[in-house]
Amino acid sequence: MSVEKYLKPSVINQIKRLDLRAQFVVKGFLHGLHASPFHGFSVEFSEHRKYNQGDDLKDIDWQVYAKTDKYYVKKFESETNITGYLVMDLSQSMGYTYQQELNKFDYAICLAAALAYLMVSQQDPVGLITFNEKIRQSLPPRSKRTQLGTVLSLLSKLEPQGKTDFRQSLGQLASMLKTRSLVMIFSDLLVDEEEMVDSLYRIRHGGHDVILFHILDEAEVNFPFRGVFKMRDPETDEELKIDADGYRDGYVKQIQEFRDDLARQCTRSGIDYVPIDTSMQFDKALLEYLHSRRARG
Amino acid sequence: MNWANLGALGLGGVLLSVPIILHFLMQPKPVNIDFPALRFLKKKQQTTRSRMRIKHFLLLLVRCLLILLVAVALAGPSVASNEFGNWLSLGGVGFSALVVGGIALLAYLRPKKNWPLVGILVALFIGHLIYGGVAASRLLNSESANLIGDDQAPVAALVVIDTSPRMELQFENQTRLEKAAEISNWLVEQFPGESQVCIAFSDGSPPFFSVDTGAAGRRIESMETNYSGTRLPVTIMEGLKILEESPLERKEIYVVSDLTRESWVGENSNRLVKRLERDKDYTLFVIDVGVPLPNNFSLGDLRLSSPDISSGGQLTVSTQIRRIGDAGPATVNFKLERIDPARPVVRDGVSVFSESFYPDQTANKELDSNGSRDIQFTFSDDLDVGTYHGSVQLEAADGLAIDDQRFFSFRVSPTHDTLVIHPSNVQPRVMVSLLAPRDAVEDGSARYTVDVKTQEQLANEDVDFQDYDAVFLLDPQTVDDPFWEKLQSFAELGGGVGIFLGHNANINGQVDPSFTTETAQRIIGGEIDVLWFNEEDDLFISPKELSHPIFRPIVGYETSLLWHRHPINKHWGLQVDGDNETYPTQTLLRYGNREPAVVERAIGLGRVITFTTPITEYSYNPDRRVWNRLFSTNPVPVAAYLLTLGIAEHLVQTDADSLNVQVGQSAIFQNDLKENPESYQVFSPTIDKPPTTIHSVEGKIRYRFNNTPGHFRLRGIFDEQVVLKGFSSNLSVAATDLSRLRPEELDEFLGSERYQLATQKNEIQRQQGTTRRGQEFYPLVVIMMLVILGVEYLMSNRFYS
Repeated sequence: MSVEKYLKPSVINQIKRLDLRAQFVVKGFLHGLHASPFHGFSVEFSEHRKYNQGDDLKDIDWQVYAKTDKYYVKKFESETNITGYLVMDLSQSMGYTYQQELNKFDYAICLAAALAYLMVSQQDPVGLITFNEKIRQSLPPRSKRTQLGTVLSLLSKLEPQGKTDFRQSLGQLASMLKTRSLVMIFSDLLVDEEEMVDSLYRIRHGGHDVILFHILDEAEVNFPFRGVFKMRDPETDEELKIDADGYRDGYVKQIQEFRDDLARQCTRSGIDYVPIDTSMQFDKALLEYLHSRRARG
Repeated sequence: MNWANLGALGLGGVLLSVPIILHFLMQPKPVNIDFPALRFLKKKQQTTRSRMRIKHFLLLLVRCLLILLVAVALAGPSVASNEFGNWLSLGGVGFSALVVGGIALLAYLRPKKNWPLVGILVALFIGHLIYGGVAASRLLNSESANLIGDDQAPVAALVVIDTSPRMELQFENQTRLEKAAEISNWLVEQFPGESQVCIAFSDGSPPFFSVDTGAAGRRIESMETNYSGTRLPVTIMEGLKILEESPLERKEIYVVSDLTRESWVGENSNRLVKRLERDKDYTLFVIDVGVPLPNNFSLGDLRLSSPDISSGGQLTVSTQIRRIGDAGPATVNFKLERIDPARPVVRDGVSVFSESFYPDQTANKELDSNGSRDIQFTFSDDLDVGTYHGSVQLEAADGLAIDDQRFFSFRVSPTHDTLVIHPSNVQPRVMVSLLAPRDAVEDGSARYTVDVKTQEQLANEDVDFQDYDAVFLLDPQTVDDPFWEKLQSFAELGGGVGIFLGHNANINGQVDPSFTTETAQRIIGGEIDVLWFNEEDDLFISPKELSHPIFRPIVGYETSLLWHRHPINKHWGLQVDGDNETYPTQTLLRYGNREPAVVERAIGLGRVITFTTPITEYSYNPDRRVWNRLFSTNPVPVAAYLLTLGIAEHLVQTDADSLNVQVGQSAIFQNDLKENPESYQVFSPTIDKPPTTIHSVEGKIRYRFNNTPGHFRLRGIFDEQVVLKGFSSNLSVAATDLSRLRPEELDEFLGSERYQLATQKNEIQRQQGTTRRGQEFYPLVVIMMLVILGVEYLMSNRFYS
């Protein structure tokens, strides 16, 4: 059986240990990647090889040349300097799912764990920050092997709770970031759109790269409800009695417009926007990460 | 439009409240769930909620419509078949309106509205509504046949059955009457329980509702041909009066007829048409049991040379054989009974008549297709005085037997004594030779004995007129009142007086005053006022209406009599006293200038006939212009001869007894109680019918119950002697005329498209079904129900889980 199955949330849900989840997701992802256009971005350990005509001159390892008088190219060395922050939305809305195996939070944790695994494997420093109304936990980035265990341990203990205050939380985050970093935000973004965009701009203007993983439950995207429902917003406790059939088209259109608008604004400011719903395989998120890494490489 | 079960509509109306109550009170209980993205729902909450309300309202409407359609389907709407197309069109318009309206609403509900499209659709929808509304209003207001929509609802039914003699026509081993009975019985069996059935025959008997359908069936079984009934329009009118009394809502009329013209034509069609127009709710079926191309031989009316002959006299019986169908041979027999004083008599419960006959005469004739042939039989014998009965019978293979035999009766009586009175300036020779031809006198067969006297002789002799049966006054000169009074007395006791006025009543261009006295006018029947002249030889007499007995000898020869060869140059004008109730007077014959030629006055038991031109004129008179050339040739012209003979027979009252009548007519006999019994037994032609007794009233025997063709025999006892009288009864030729009614003629009686014509049971059944239930909307309503059900399903699935 292919390991790619581990890219499916329904399969991953059956693995209880988060480290294994992360490992399986990454392995499944990498297995699929060998046959993909991203092969050149292999994240295996760096190596030297003889310079061939056409190679980028900037890839030549001049230290080896000094010792051997021969041109060797050292691959990927320059990439190891990315400092990544996994920024997890801890608000109560993230704990929602309607019919999926994983709720948004679980999905985000899996994804974050996989990314952490990937980064640590490449000796990139990775840190973890959680927030709801404010930043709740902060794990500084490290590239040690033990960092993965620390990150995963913290992730596994997280519980979604409270409301989201994006401005406050991301404001805090922006002040925390000293070096140029890759900020990977995992959130359902069910916040004030203007505040959210402002906060993202602020981080982006700080010179950081931002990948925004917009994670929604499949029901929040497709609105599969039929009949009369009394719906409650878990964060605000607001209630609304609706006839779902009548609302579906309007809602789906609304959410799509929201995502499109967000994508537009993110593109404009150089933020990578990754719309995800919890029924999707994890590889989309990971691919997005690789795109971002290549752009910086 | 008609509803089989109007209550279902009311129930439907009540049930309509169910979805409405469910809609407002039984809202579905919402499921409580968390949904973090609530803000996106709230953004469109107001517009979505409004749209949802409209959609729910639409769904409610659809459900109400569904229930309404169920109720309508159960109510069994139907219309007369000819309206069905209109209703179907209206249904189509309604459905189209529904679709257009729905599309218009959806177009309006779209977020991005295409206002021109919405406008066009709304305009279309309104156009549909206006058109549909107007059409529906017209249809609802139009009168429709009363359709109950249920085959089993009780019905008040009038079944009119033609029982005329024509219904005895055999076809396919069945008479039309048998076929009518078969269909009528079947019809009665078809009627739902509790139905009221009136079986009406065209026999003139009053119609009535049978106790139940079983009794109606028995009535049909007992029906017989009727020979003197009424025409069908009359029977239908009478039946409608009964039908009107029924409280049942549904009323049906079935007319079972062979559709021969004689059954219908002759009555005023307007009354029936108007009545049927008034009772438009009554459904009318005409069931044709006739034969379009019948095969029949028939005998025409019998013409007797005289119903009264002398013992050695000659009887001539002539008639016509007629053929409807292909050419073929026919044999005709002439039979004459001998008088048997011992008969008629009842033996073993049946009447027995004379079984002794004079030798038959037989004639064979070959008839062309749809042709006719004249035939004549002559009989002469030394017959005893009395009444004789005979028949002419046709032997041929045909469908209708009733018109193959005709009956006749005649009387052999002693000679009639007459007195001819004339002034000496005119000759009575013509009159005498007419009444008693020399050869007839010599061989003893003369019908009259004639005494001739001049007016001068009469003045000197005491002549008793009572010794005569009739007195003829030829071109009389001045007559005094006592003479007129003597004539009046004679007439009052039963004598006949014939007055032939001529030039002797003229004194210097004026009427002799003795002819204008009150007494004279009483005899003559009016006042002689003026002398009419005609110099052009273009004034004639030409009998038109030949029903009076004086024309009996003429009947049959009328087309061959050349009246125009016998011009009238002079005649007296007569102011006929037609209003006299004591002495009823009528003009029997007129000249071409419309002046009276022959006038009859009834005085007591006798009769007076006045001819306003004389019978004693010759072709040439050196002294004056002749008055007419009626009798001026030798031999006497046939026309004048026959007319004079008719007058003479009428005056001696050979026609006083009804020896040959038509079925349904009363037979009347003079019955002088001095010579005749007071009562008679009447034996009808139906041998198993016991004889009835009739009595003499005011010197006459009158028999009214003549309803069968054949010989009716009267037997009485006077002075211990048997007195036999009798008469023959025949159907009129028209009564067996099988000519069929044309469709447009039937329309005249029943109204165009007012009735449904059927010949077979299945046709009747189909038309019954269509008429009772009309064209049902049930299938249409069910289809609409299914469509609406589908729409409801789609909408409810769209709006609800």
